[in-house]
Amino acid sequence: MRLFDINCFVGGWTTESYPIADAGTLADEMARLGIEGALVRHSWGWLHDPAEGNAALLGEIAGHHQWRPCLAATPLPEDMGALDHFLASVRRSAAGAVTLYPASQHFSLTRWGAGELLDALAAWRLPVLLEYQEITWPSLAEVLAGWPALPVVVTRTGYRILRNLLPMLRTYPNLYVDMAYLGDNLALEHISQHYGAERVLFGTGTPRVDGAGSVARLAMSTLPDEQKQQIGAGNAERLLADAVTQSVA
Amino acid sequence: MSRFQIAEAVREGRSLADLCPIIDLHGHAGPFPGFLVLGGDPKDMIAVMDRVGVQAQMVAPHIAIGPSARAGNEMALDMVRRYPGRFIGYAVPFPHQPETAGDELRRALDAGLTAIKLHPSVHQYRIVDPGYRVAFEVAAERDTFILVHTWRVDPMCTTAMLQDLAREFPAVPVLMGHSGGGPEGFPEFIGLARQYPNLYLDTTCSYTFGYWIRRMAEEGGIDKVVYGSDLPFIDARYGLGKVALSGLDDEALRQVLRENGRRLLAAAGVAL
Repeated sequence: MRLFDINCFVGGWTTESYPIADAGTLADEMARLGIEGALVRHSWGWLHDPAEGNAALLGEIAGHHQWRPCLAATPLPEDMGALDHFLASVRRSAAGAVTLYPASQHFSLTRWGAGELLDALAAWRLPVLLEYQEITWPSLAEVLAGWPALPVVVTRTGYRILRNLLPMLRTYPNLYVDMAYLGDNLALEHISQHYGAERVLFGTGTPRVDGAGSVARLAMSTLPDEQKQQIGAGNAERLLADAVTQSVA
Repeated sequence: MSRFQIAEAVREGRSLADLCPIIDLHGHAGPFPGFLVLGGDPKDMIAVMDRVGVQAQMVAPHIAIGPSARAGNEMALDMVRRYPGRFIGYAVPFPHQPETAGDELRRALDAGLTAIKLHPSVHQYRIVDPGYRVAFEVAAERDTFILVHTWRVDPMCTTAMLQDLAREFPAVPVLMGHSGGGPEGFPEFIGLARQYPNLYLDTTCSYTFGYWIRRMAEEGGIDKVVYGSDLPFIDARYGLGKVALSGLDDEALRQVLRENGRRLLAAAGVAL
């Protein structure tokens, strides 16, 4: 089964020391888990500064052609420079997605708070990754409803989420969920059966989660092989490819 | 022949039923108030157990550690009777009625449950106080073991309390559920398992990593680590993957996934 990891980081963390922190150790981890490709983020984009995190990310993963960068951003030109400048860097770096940390970095995913950025990303159909701990369900709903062309991937949900996640999946077709510790019992099978296997993307959560959990979860699921392949790599590759086409054009 | 056949089977999605039939010492059943639990019905749990290769699953139904120990113990007894050999039950006391807690444990054990589960954090009751202390007395009487929920710094169940009980009841094996609940707790709990012959580590933990499982085995002792999944509170396959792909070889994994639990259950009168 081919695997493409939608959710992994390089870089150090503030409250924990993990053995996987740079491109070398991440590559070793991917080899251990049998993962072929990945969308990679840098912890600094979250815990330090989005622009400096993006520069560090591109430096760190240079030469690893199996990986695509996921750039961090805030909606403010005071942080990122002019929007056109940021979008040009997305294009230049062949970023597969953008990630936002509205709770930690104190901005609002509203039209007044992030409208221009989200308009641009939606026009490119460039996926946006949102950590579960960075959003509230109402704020996520506002983004999904306000920018229906924007694919939004909620990452590292943990468990205890289905009473909110399932109605959201039912209501918003542009919502996707990462497998990194989608820990509710049978959630993978239930979502695939009732909401579509195309809504789930394989992710490990490396280094904050042991990706062996996601590998075993998918491999030992009761899903048909075709859906395992879809979730393992196909869904992510399709989303990223759509975005590339749009951005190059 | 590879020394890592179990890891290879998990990676390829094959059941471990033939290679290493699993004995899972940490499970629940039924609904839980805080979130939607899919597949909490015994029949659905059996389906997951069969898919993964679990021979026997120990259970303490959620309601037993919630508002009715009695209803939960009855549910566990029903599961044990309907699926003999597949489910093995924990008896749970209601510690806030210390005068009847021991009687309920004895009743449930006599009726067919095997060991005892305590959840100081959910019950908000100190493990050393009378309503739980009686569980250690009953376990000693009945030659069985206790699974205790542990979680980092828990004033209801501190490591000092666990040590006092381990010394006072040296014949009662205590499985330290979740092994302290994460990297903040693991080192101290590994130390306890190394120091006290009757304290055991439990792999059940959403915050664990393969390298912590290896440390538990190497530093706590390979015979002191038991496997648990938390099914159906959490999907069993996440935890199994972390254990199976931890880098431990087949011999070590057989200890963790099966033999250590089998030995504890045999001492409690259940042959698997």
